[in-house]
This record gives sequence, C-alpha cells and structure tokens, in this order.
Amino acid sequence: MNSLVDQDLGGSAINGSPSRLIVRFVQPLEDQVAGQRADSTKGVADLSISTSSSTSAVGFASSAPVFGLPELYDQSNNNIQLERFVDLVSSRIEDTQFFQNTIRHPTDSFKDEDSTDIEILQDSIYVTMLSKSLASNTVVPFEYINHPIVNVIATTSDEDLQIVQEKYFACKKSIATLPSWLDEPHTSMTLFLILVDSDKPEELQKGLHMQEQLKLNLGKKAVIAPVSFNKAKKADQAKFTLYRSQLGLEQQPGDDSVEIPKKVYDAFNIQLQDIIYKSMIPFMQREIKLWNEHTNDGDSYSPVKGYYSTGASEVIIRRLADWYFMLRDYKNSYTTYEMLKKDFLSDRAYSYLSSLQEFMVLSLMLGASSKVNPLENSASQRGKGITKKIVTDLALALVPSFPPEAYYAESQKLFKKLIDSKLVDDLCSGILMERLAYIYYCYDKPVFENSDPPKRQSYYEESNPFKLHRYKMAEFGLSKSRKSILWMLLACRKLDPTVKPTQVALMVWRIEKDLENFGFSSDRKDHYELVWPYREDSLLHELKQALEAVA
Amino acid sequence: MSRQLKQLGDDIWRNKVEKVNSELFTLTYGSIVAQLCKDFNYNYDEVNNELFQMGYSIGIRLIDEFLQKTQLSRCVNLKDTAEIVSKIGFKIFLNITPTVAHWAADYRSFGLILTENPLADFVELPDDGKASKKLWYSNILCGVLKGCFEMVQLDCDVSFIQDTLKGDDATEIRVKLIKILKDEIPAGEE
Amino acid sequence: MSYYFSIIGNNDAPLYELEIGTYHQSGDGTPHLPKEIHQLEQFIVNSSLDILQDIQFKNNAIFTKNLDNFYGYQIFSYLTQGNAKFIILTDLKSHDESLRQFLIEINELYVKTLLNPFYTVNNPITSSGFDTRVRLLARKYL
Repeated sequence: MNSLVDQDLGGSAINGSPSRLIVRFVQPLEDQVAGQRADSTKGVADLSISTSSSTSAVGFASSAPVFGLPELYDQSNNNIQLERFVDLVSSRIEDTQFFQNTIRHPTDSFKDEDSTDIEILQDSIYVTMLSKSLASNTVVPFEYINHPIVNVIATTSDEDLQIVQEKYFACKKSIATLPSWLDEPHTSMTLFLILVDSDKPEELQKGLHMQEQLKLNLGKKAVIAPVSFNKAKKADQAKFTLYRSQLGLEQQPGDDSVEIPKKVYDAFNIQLQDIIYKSMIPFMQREIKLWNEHTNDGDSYSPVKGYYSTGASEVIIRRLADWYFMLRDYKNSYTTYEMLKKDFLSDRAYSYLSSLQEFMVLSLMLGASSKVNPLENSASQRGKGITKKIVTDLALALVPSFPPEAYYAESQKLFKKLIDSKLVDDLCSGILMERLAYIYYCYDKPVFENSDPPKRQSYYEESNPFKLHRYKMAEFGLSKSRKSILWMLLACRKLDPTVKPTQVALMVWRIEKDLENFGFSSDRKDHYELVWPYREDSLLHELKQALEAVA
Repeated sequence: MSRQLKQLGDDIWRNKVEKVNSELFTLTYGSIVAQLCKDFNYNYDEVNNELFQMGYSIGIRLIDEFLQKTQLSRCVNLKDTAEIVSKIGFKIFLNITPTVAHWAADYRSFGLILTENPLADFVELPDDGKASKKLWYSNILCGVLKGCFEMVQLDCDVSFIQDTLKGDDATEIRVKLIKILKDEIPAGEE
Repeated sequence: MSYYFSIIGNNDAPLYELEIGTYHQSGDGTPHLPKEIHQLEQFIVNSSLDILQDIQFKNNAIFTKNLDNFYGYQIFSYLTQGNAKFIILTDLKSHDESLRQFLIEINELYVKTLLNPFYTVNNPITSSGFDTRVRLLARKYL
C-alpha cells in the first residue's frame, strides 16, 4: 500500500457543487524527489547538489555556483513529453491535405488552400510547452503549492492493526529522508482511510475498533469509508474508467484502462470531499492561525544550498501565504506575500522572489484586485511597483485601443533573454525562436480586424513601372516580417531538418511565402539580385537540401 | 597659323556659343546609346552604325552653323582641315582640342587623339564580353565629322581605331580622305 | 575581425556584396566570418532593414551606428537620398568614425555608378572597377 501523497480522488464534485475538484495522480513524493534528483545529475553534473536530511551533508563540485538547484527543475522530463507531443503533432500535420498538397508536393492548383488546421496544430506546440513549463508539478522549495498537506494512508478494516501501524512508521521514516527544504511530516497531516465493506456488518465493527486504536496508539485521526461492492455490482452497471497512465501505475501492454463501478467511484468521491472539507481545510485553518501567532527565527537563507531550511520564518510565512492562496483567501495571501518581498530581495534568493512575484500577480488578478483594478487609471499606476506593473501591463495588453508595439518589444526582449540563457534544450529553444518569429510577424497586424477604408483609385490610367515605388506612410516601418524570417531560419537550424523534418518543412514553406511578398523568389532567375535567399551558401538552401534528403 | 586658329576657336567658344550643362549633355548622350543597345538587342555593329547615321545627320546640318560662326574660307590642304577640325570644330562644340597626329606618309590620312571625351564621362561599357570588343561608344562623332566633311566636298572615311573605354591607351579617330568631290549641280537644277 | 558589406537597392534587394577582413591590427583583409554568420549574413542584413525603415523618417541621420545587432555583430547603415542602403555587418568594436568615412566615399562611388548610362537602378553592380575601388577604400578605412 502506497502512501497516497498529494492525492485527490474523483472528478467533478457531485450535486452540482460549484467547486470543481481536479484529480491528478502523481508519484509518491519520495520517488518524485528522487527522480528530480536523478534527472539533474544526468543533465548538469557540476550543478548538482545532493541533499538529504539524514546526512545533511551538502556535497557539491568545487565550481558549484551559488545559484542553482537543477534538481528542482524537472526539465528533462518535460523535454521528453514535449518531444513526444511535437512528434504527434508532426504526424497529424503530415496527414493533412494541406501539407500533402502544398508543402510536400506543391502544385499550383492547391496554392490557396486553407492552412487554418495546421496553424492550430502548430500553435498547440507552443501552448503545450508553455503549460508544461508553467504548470509543472515539480516539488520546489520556494513555494508550497506542490507540497503535501495531507498524508492519507488507506487500509481495509480486515487488515491487521499491527501491520497498519508498521506501515505508518515506515512511511514516516521514508518521509524523514526527504530533503530538508521539504515540509517535514509535522507540517503535514496524516490521516487513515479505513475502507469498510458495508455488506458485512461485522466489518464496520472492526473498522470502528481500528479507528479507536489508531487514535489511542498513534494519536492520528482515521476516517471510515463504507463501500458496498455488492450493491454496486447489481444496481449500477455504469462504469467509470480510469487510465493506468493517469494513475501513475505501471502500464500493461494493450490495456490501459481500469474500470470502477460508478457507485464505488461516487462513494470515494464523497469521501474525498469529506476529507477535504472536514479534515484538511480545518487543519489548514488551524495551522494558519498557529503560524500567524508566532514565527520563530530559524535558519536563514543559505546561498550555497540555494534554499531556506524549513524552520526559517520566511518559509513559514511563505507557506502561510500559499495556504491562504489555496484556501482562496487572495487578499490575505497577497498581503502575506508582500511581507516577504524585502527579505528575499536582501537575501538574493531570486528563485524565491520570482515565484513570489508570480503568486502576488495571481493573487491580485484572482481576488485582491479590489486594491488595484488593472483596468482603471492604469497609466498613473505604471512603474510604481513591479507587481502592479506586471498586472497593469498584462491587463493593458488586452485592451484593443492600446498600441501593442510596446508589448511586442518587451516580449521580444524576454524571449531573446530566455533563448540566450540556454536553460532549455534545442527543441524548446527552437520553439521559442519560432514564437519570437511570430511576435515579429505580428507587428503590423492589427490585434483586432477592422475593415480597411476603400482605397482611392489613382487617376492615372496605367502605372509607370519605372516610377519609384511610393510607400504607404501610415504603415511604413511597422512591419517586422524580415526579422520574423530570420528567426524562423534560426528556429529551423535549431530544430534540425533531419530531426524534425515536418516542423522545418512547414517553417521553410512559411519563409518562402514571406520572401515572396518582398519580391524575392527562386523563380526570378533572370534577376540575380532577387534570388539571393536561394544561393548555394545560404542557410535556406542548406535547409531545403536537407529536407529533400530526408524526404 | 596654328596659334591664330587656337585664338579664333577660344574667342568663338567664349562669346558666340550657347552653353549647356555638361552632365546633362553627357547623360543625355549616354541614355541614347544605352537605349540603342537595348533596342538593337546588344548587336553592337548595328549600334555603331546607328550612331554613325545619327552623327551624319547632325554633321550635314552642323556645318552651316560652323561656317556661320567662324566665317572661314576654303581650306588649302588636308593639314589645314585637320587643324581647323581640332582647334575650332571640337573647341566650339565640345570645348576640347584633340591632338592631330599620326599623319600618313602621303598626307591623306590623320588621327585625332581625344585626351578627354565629354561624351564618355562616368561610362563603363557593359561587361558582357562583346561591348568592349565591338562597341564604339562615341561613334556619333565619326558620323558628325563624316557629314561635315562631305558638305565641304571632302569624301572621307572616319572611324575610331582605339578608345580608352575599351581599355586602350588613347582615344583616336582616324580620318582618311578618299577623294575631293566636284561641285556638282544638284540634279534637276541647271 | 571581419566585415560584410552590402549595397541594398531601393527594392531592398542586394546589389553588391563584399566580405572583407580588417586591415588594422595587422590584419591582411581576409574575412573570418564563421559559417553560421556567412550562411545568414544577407538575412541578417535584410532583417535589419525592418529597423532602418522604422527609424529612417524619424530623424535626419544618414549614418546610423548600431542600427541593430546579432550575437556580437553590429550593424551600421548609410541611407542614400535615393533610398538605397549601405549596410555593414561587423564584429569589430568602436570603429565608428572610419566606418562613416568609408560609407561616405562608397556613396561617391555609388553615385558615379548611377551616372553610368549602362547601369540601371537596382541592378546588381557587377563592374570590376567598382569592386576594385571598394576594396581600396576598405583597405584604407576598415
């Protein structure tokens, strides 16, 4: 029996309750942390810091930088998933008519076919990457969102009490070996879940007895969950399907699904809600009250380790704020986060600071926005504080009348920074580069379509081709599509035509289309100056050659 | 004699001639040549020919202007003619004075060496491999000379034999007297 | 330390290109542009035109230093009155004044080329005489 860590069961809440529960099964915490650690040692050896509370020895290479806990950023796992996703999208794109007719075998009759489908597919890659990297369930020391709150140990009423108790101690022991930046057992609540077969009355007795014993022996609360397997079998044939891959169980070839009778499933669901509302939330509220009353001065920030130890007051305040956040008390979470800002800044705990800012922004946008209404008199608020600036900027970008160039410029800068920081692998930076190209592409495109005023006809009956081309001054200099072309090329090079041929083919197609708008095309052999992109020593030529070789 | 001619040429240039911006002149001529090349599809023999014809048409008219401005009388010999062409003809119309040189032993042909050529400023011949062999860029000058000579009863062969535009050391027009024409009464006039 | 120099017509197509190394600091004029840059140089220059277009009517400057940059390479531009552009891409730092002089003299050469009746605006400049003179200027200033 596994210790069920961070586990919330059951899909949406029953009886139309507004609070929708999202259930995700994750690996046991120990495995997760161990995995994170292993990944990091694989990847960047000289950055790795081995931490374990048992030895509390911090072994790191002599050149170990002050800043860095790569084990915290479970990048390689994300990379593998993204890799898979890109391949999936690629194969879907390859199947589209558009790809077959326009890119693979270009014929004139298909030139104007609709490319919406592949654009949506293509965009999903960036969205996936973004959500994977933002919504990671990596356990990190600088926030408590993925840390365990309730430790549920599930058992059945016919289990021997002795074994259950041993299980508890084993579990406690394994938790004790977790890194010291992780919440220790005393901050999380342990709860026993005793499953009782309600078809057999004597089982309920046993369950009650076990509940009592656990309270006496260990001082831990136990919850009894009656489940009727018989009734479920007879009455309700509706099945609820869970997937092994989602459960984090080992996959068996061919059969990924596990079926649970709906009745049983519902029973669990109710139980889960009970645990959350009757045990977990009161527990959290109690703890919050406690932390509010006294904070002790624990260890302070260690730049070498890169984290605060659990006892530090910053940690407790942060946990307090995160718990406020989880309980949807955004006003309190915002003010509590605010308290920490100075400390993190003076300790140069930048990973803590950035995460803090993120959650401050979220708190503001979700609920504390009565303090700052991002849509009102935002101009006067700009630049006052970084958090407010972020919020106002975010909100302003959504206001149609505001010229978007400033945001494009800002996002460009940030994207370049991200790419140059080399934090991510080739695939990710390729995607980032493609996105940067897209930002450049957006420059002169209106955020919201508006109809063009009718063009005035020239009174000349025919135009003189030798006259200098007159620019439309209203749009002159706005377009950045040539920058976009450059970054698409860089993205192609990063993605490598031999590794991701479909992606590269798609981008090369786009590059050629854009080039054609400028009058540069491989068809213009008579004009040496117009075929420059296709010269034999150009990157575009090399990419096209490589694509041909692959196809 | 030679100095007098030079003096005369200078005087006329200074006092009697309407002047035009040299770049306008050069570019106008240049675009005519370039257009001809295009029109004749870069067949330079034809271009040379056309330029010569254009020059000829100018020459048979220009001679009257020349005689009216200079009030010169008939030349005694070809040497005279050469000097007048160089020091007065070229001077008053192009403000240059080609050197008369390379006389043939029989004094029936001579060279005009153009140390500068206002027609050819800024010009670089097309590098198609043919132009530098065949095209006589300033061939219009030959036509003009031919036309002028003919109007004073001198039947001459006028042609370029070298051109700095083609990479030669000098620009030289060769004039060769074929025969002196008799004063003939035009047909139909007694 | 190398330069990539390009003349861009008012149709934004490259009319003349030259890769050349510096003659300063005991350089012999051989360009040392890495392959990644060489493969992209015209694209980099082409993309900097976006920036140039953005600013060209906002001030009166003809010569713009640090118009753009690309991984350690600076881009300098010179805008002619006919909206042709001379662009230099280089990894050489703080060399602005001689670059400016170079481009001013290039402009003189370019204007002379325009006056050649056989040259059509926006056609590639293939004259070997022009090339020689540009290289001489490069030797003098770059």
